[in-house]
Parts: sequence; structure tokens; C-alpha cells
Amino acid sequence: MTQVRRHRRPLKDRILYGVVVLLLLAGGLIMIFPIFWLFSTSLRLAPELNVVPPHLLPDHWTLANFEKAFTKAPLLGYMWNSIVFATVSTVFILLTSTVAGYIFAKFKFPGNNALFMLVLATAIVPFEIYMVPLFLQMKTLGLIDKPLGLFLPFLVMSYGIFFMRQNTQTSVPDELLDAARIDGMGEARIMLLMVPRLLAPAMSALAILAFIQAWTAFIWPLLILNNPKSFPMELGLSQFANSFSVDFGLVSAAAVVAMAPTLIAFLFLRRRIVDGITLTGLKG
Amino acid sequence: MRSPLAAVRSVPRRTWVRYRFVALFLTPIMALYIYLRILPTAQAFLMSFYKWELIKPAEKFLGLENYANLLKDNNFRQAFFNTTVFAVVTTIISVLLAMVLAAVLARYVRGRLGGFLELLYFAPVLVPMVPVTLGWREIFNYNHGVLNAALGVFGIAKQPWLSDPTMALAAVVILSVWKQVGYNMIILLVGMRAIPIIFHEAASVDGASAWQQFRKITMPLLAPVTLFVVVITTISAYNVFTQVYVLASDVQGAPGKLVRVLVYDIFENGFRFFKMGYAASEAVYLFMIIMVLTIIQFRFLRGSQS
Amino acid sequence: MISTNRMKGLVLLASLAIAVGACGSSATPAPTAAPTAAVTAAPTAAPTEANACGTDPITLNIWGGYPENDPVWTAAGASFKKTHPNVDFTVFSTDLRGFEQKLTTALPSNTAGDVVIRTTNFLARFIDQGLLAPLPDDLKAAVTAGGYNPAVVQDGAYANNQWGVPLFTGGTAVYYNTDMYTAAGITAAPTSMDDLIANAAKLAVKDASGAVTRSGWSLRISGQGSGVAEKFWILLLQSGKTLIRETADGKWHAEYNGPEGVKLFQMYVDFLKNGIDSPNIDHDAKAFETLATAQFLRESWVIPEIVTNAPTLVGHYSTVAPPVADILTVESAFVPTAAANPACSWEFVRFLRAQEQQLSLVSTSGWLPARSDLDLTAFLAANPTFTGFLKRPDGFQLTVTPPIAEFDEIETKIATHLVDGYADFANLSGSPDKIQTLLNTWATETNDILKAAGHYGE
Repeated sequence: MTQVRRHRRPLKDRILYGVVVLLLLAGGLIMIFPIFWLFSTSLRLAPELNVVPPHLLPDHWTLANFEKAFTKAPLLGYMWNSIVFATVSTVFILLTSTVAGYIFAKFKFPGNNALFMLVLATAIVPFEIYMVPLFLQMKTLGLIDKPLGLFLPFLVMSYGIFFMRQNTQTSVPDELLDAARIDGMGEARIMLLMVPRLLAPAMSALAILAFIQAWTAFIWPLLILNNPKSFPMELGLSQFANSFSVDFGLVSAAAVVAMAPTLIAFLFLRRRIVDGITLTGLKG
Repeated sequence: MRSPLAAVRSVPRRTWVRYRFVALFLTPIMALYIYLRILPTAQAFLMSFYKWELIKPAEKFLGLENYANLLKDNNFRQAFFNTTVFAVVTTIISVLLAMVLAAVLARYVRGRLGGFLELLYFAPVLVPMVPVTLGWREIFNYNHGVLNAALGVFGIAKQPWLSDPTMALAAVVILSVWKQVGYNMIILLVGMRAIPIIFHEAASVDGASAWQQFRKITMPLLAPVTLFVVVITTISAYNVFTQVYVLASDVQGAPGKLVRVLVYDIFENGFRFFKMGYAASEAVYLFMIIMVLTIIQFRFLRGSQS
Repeated sequence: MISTNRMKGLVLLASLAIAVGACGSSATPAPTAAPTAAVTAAPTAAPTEANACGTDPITLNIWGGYPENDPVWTAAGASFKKTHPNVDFTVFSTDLRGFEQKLTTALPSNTAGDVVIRTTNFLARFIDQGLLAPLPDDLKAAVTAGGYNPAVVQDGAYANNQWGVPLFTGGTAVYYNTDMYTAAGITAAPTSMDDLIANAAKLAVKDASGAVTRSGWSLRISGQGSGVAEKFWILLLQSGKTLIRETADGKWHAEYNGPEGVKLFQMYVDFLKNGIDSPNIDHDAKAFETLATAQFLRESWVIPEIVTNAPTLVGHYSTVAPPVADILTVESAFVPTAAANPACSWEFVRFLRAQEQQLSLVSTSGWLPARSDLDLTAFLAANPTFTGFLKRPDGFQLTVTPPIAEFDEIETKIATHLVDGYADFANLSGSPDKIQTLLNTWATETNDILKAAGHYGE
């Protein structure tokens, strides 16, 4: 629609469009600059790190930091652990959040509001506060230093429930649900087959967020895991970043390795969002 | 007048089927939720009434003494002030910016270019906080930092981003907006794209301008998602910790003035001074602040929606 | 139709039930830590018993707060395995903040490592709760028999006993750039506070606009935690005073608000006012490595860091001991009472005491060996930059951390005040009265904390 109109539009509008795009591009470059800076830093050696004024690109390009990073720590092992952890967490959070969010949004039952407020209220409490009691519960279950102990708290997500509830309100029209009911569809079928199609973009967004949350989790893995072999990426990375002798080139290299999978994963999932939009567009 | 029993009887069968459905699906999730979130949180709240060390639990019941002492605690007051300023500024800037970006990317700049821009703005969300904050610390550096070098190009004097108390707070805001805005944008974008395009087409036919369409169609339909974004930005802003910690990190003695924020203070009291009960009551204050703000935001946005 | 719905519902419910059930069921057969074993932790192991580790496969988990020492423990584990083939090792470390957090949750729940490396002062509260085992007799004898500086032994004493085996210490020395010294016409190493102050004034460099580009002495003026107060403390010790003073009857009170403290604080704010140091330039090791300062005080880990980060600086700087005194922090090896194989844990700790392991520490990460009876001649000849740490002047005083739990809180709060005070240098410089008032306010808070803990005495 926009394309068609643009051809008809006068020169003034096209200039405006050009200005907006340029502004957005400039802003976008600022946004990725710190990430670019990490990349750039990871390709130079320590003596080059504190040059005044800073050089945008390394004077001497080197992969030495990456070599060192991979020999100093089992980065691939950390990555595998993180992938398993983040995938399990994402799948469960999608399931629990979508079901709970949809029910909170579309069903009137006694205690609906109270339960939802409870979820919302719990979302507010910083993890630092309840992690100790949670740790003791995991201990009672015998889950210290066990994968399940790591996964369990990451199977539900307060924000996820909240997010899916809000999106159900915007994207799932009551008329559609009633129509389906009149057609004789059962509630479970509606929820599990029809609603996810309408919520696909939101679910994709939530998947990304859940994945990142698990990928960057730090304090909980720190408390629950004892064996470095089972460390996820962020915890393994901390051994680089928080070491007393910070070699920033080396830290940058490890950070680049750590964020590469999320960047790649996002590229894939972005396509899914676009697909989801097309899908809902057809419905609309 | 009908008796309550009659009222229950009059509930249609259809409704009972739905109750059963809700019970069947929601119960296991809420059970998990209660065990993993509510139970430990309740336990933490209980601590706030005690002199409680991790290794000496429930040493002495204090009632509201922890709460009273906190009000006299200078660190707590400073943390409360800093966090509030930080949260208000960060939320306003990052939500407004995200709203503008999402509006433009949802209808105006689309296709491959739009997708590319989306990726640029979302990228900061994907990077782990600790290394990227270390990166920002270099960027903020007074002497060899890129930011001051860039300001110099425009003839602006070097700014003590990390050592001056006010500038240090500004630096944390900049970093946090940078990290948050892409997240807000993508969520608003999802919400905007879910609005059936037919509404906009109809409005166009009626001759409504882009701004009128945004004001009359997008804004009201987007209210629940906007509310979500505002609420969780506020919550995450009140829980700010890592950025502050790393920016003023001891290790290299980079000139970083610590911006004392609530979670930092909670952490210090709980894990450094071992006063778990005291820290828990501080968390309850934090909880109450955010709770009140959330309720206000709910009321406010509900009001504007109708 | 309804039955299909029911089926789907049941499938989903079942999958959730499996997930929840899995947590419950795996709980019973898998108790992670051995039951609390205070009895077995008693010092039963004989000094040189070769089979303290038995023959069954054992994994020892070594926990420490300094990641740069991981290679040391890993290498030690590998050579220990030569004589104890059934023993494997995992090494856990993270930054100190994370480590203290982990210890605080793990020790009370009996899930900590088999050997835990931290200071006695930090672990005191866990000792109170019986969570750490006392030293076996032979190790206790070895620790108190004179192989360690008396201050190290004093630092390790708690509740009339010794609990850990000292492994490494974090002493301080003055690092100074010899090129800058020569260029400023200074030939002698700084051996007094007056030297340091006078040299700092000569070494500072300003640009045309008057902005400081190189500090004459990089002071510790910002940062979090207790670091800022610790550096203030070290300098205060040079005048014979300390942060909190112990009375004859074992009580404590603030001492930093005396004339010496005022004078020292005045030095800090004067430096900032006169452009000998500045809040706007880099500080600490980083400043030294990037030639943004001429001298500063730090621990020995900076030496290997310079080799990596600023190789061109090697050979252009020296270290010298602080004039008359230093604080001493000792990182020791402890064994939790809940450790699964206490005899084997102690056997490994015995192994870590060997000269070879102690030297591996200093040459790998730069931390100083805790033992004072080692032959370091060859090491010093090969690594002369360690002089300031290993050669202390006669009569040098070592002050240990006061053995009271609230000291960290006191020190951290002083640090917070100092940072704010330094930031207000323009107002405070040249006003000893204002400084005195300020220090008195902080001292009142310090004494109040001591009073609340029942440790205050005039």
C-alpha cells in the first residue's frame, strides 16, 4: 500500500521520506557503535587499547585474542550448555506464558484479577531478594549442581504471562473466539490451534526475550552450579570479564563469541516475526 | 431477590465448561509459579520483620524496626533518590523514543530497509550486559573515550562522564536507554502490526492524516501493549544494578563515581553486611514503590483508553 | 469433538506433570552433599599418610575468588594426581563479589566445595556456626611453627584456634615510573611519605589549559566497596595511626578522625585542588600502564598484568615497600565440615604448602606466597620488580584486619564517605576545621556500628 502511494506522492513527501531514513540510519549506527567497538577491540592487542584519540579500526589486525580465548576457556562447551539451557527455557516459557496469558485475558472466573495481580506483583521483586529462599528450596529437592536445578526457575516468566495477556487483548478478537465456539470448536482446540496463529508475532518476540534471558542469566547459574563443565556462557564469560587482570582485548573477544549466537538466532527469528505478521495480515 | 444458591444454579452450563477448562490448564502453571516465585518471595518478605542472617535465620523478631531504621539510613535515602530519578528519566526517554521508532517502522519505512533498521536498533538488547558495560566505560572515558572525542568534533568540551555525580547518573541513563529502547520498540512494533490494516485503510479513505490515524486508531488499540512497555521499563529501571556496578567497578580504578541505587544497596546490606532482614525490608520498600507506580500507570492508561 | 479436546488437554497436562514430577522424583535418590559430618572432619588424618584419599574415585572441588589463580590450582591438581590417581579436580572461581555471594548461600546449606580459599576474617561468621573444620593437628603445628610471618598467624587466629592454611597474601608496594623520575631529576626511590608527596608535585603534568594530563600520584578517590578506605588506611598507617584502634580490653574505637587522619585527608583534597591528581583522568593500574600517572600503590598482581597490557613499560618502572607499614590480607585454604572427603581435602592442602606450589602462585598470577621460610633468591634475581613486595625495611609493621564481623561494614561506609568527601575537594581544601567536623561525623557512625555489635570501647 505504501509503495503504491509513494509513486503518486509529490517530491516534498519523497524528500521527507529520505530525511527520515537518513535520521534512522544515523541513529542505528549510533546504536550498533558500542557493539562495533567490542568487535574492533577484540581484534587488537593490549598496547593499542588506550590510544588517544582512539582509532576506529585496529592498526594491527590480529586474531590472537580469539585464539587465546578459546585456549583459555572451553568456550564451545559453555556455548553448548547455554544453547540447551536457553532452548528448554524458551519452549517452556512460551507454553506457560501463552496458556496463562490467554486465560487471564479471555476468561472470567473467580480470582482472575487477584491471580493476575499476584503475577504482576511478583514480577516486581528483584531476583536478588528471593533467590536465597529459592536456592534453599532447590537444595531440599536435591537439585544443587543439577541441570534441572538450573532450569526449573526458568520455566515460567512473570513478564511473559503479562506480555501474552496484553497481546491477547489486542490481537485476539472476542468475535473470532465466539465464531469458533459456534462452529463447535472446543476451548482446548481454540487455545492450542487457533490462538497461537493470532499470537505468532508476540510469541516470536517472547521467544527471543526468553532466549536472551536464559542466555544472559548470571546470578542463578552462579549459585546453583559448581562444576565449570556445566557453566553456561555468561558465567564462563565472567571468569574473563571479572578477573582481576582485565585484558580488555581478550574480554572483548570472549564477549563477541558470547553474543554471536544470539545475533544469529535473532536473524532467524526475525524472519519468523515477518511470517507471523503476514499470517495475521491475511486473517485481518 | 434470589438466593446465592439460586445464583450459582443459574450460571449456565457453558460457563461451568469454561471454569473446568481454566482449572485444567491454569492450575499446573500456577502451581509451578507459586512454588518457584511466590513461595520464595513470601519467605523473603517474612525476613523483613526479623534480624535475619543467612546463617542465623530468624534471630530476633523486630516488627517494623528494620523499616524505621531504613528511613534514617543515608545510603538508603540516596539510593532511593538516585533510583527514582534514573527510573523516571529512563522510562520516559526510552518509551517515547521506542514509540516514534515503532510508528515509523510499522507503516512508513518498511521492506528490507525497515528490517535492517529494526535489526540495528534491536541489536543492543542481544548483547550481554557485563562486557558491553565495560565497553561503554571505555567510551565514556574522559581522556581517550570515543564520546568525548565525538563531542570535540562539535566543539563541545570534554565531560567528566564517570567522575561527576550528576554526569555519572546521566551516563547510566544513556547506557540503559541504549540497551532498553530496542526491546520497547520491538514490542510496540508487534502490537502495531497486529492492528488490522483495514482500520487504517478505512481511515485513509475517509481522509484522515497519518497523525490522526496514529492518534485515533493506533494509540487506543495499542494501549494494553503500551501499558506493558511502560510498566516493565519502570520495573526494570527500578531494578537497575549491573550497569551501575560495572561502571564504578573497583578493578581498574577507572574514575567511576558509584551511583548508589536501591538494588546495589540491597545487595550490599544482604550479601556484604549479611543483614538479610534489613535488605529484605529495603526490597519491600522497593516493591511498594513499583506497585504503586504500576497501579497508577494502569489507571492512567485505562482512563485514556476509554 | 469434545473427546479430542479432552485428549489434548490431558496431553498438555501430562507433559506439565512430568516436568513437575521430574523435579520431585529426582530429589529423593540424589542427595548432593554428604550429610553434615562434623565427626569425620575431626583431625584424624596422620601427617604423611599416603592413602588419605583412599582408592575410590574422588572429585575435589576447589573454590576460590581470584580467577587468575585457576591455572595454579589446576596445575597443582594435576601433579597431585600423579601420586593419587583416583583423585580428580574441578576448579570453581568467579569475581570476589560473586564468590562471597556463593559462599554465603552454599556454606550454610552444606553445598560448598571441598577446599575453599578465602580470608579468615570473611569466613569467621561461618566458623561461628561450625561450618568450617578446624585444622588437623599436623597442619596447625606447621602453621604456628614459625614458617609464617607472625602477622599471618595472628590474622588466621580465630576463636582460639587456627582454621585455614595460609596460601597467599596481598601486600602493597609503591610502583613508580623510573623514566619519569629521571626526567624530573629524582634519583632515589621514595622511602617516606614526604618523598612521595614532594615527588608527586614534581611529577604531575598539566596541559596548556591547566587540565591535568598526568598525575604525580594516582590516589584512590573513587570506586565501590571498601577499596577507597583501604588505601586511605594504608597511608594512615605510615603515620602510626589506624582506622579503628583496639583497646587494652579488646574493644575498638575510631581513630581516623585524629590529627593524622585530618592531615591525610587534607593531602588528598589538596592534591585534587592543586592538580597533582584529578578526578577526570584514569587512575590506578590502568593509569600507570598508560603513562597517565607516575606513581601509585597497589598489590603485586599488577606486575604480570603490565607484562600483558603494557609490555613496553617493563624495565621502566620499579617497586618499593611503603615507608613503614602495610596492611596484610591472607587468603587461606579451608575445608567445610560438610566436605565429602575431609582427609583427602586436607591432604591436598598439605600439598599446596610445598615450595614448588607457593612459587607457582607468584610466578603465575603475581600473588605473594604466604610462607616466609621460602628461598626466593633465585626468583627475586629473575624478577627484580617484586623487590618492593618481598624486601621490606627493618621494623616494617604489618597490620591485620580487625577480627570483628562488622569491620567490612565500617570500612565500606568510610569508603562511601571518603568518595563523597574527595568529590567536594574544592570546598574542603584548605579548611582543616571543616575536615575535622566531617571526619568526626563519620567516626560517630563507626562507633555506633561498634556499639551495636557490643565491640565499642574508649
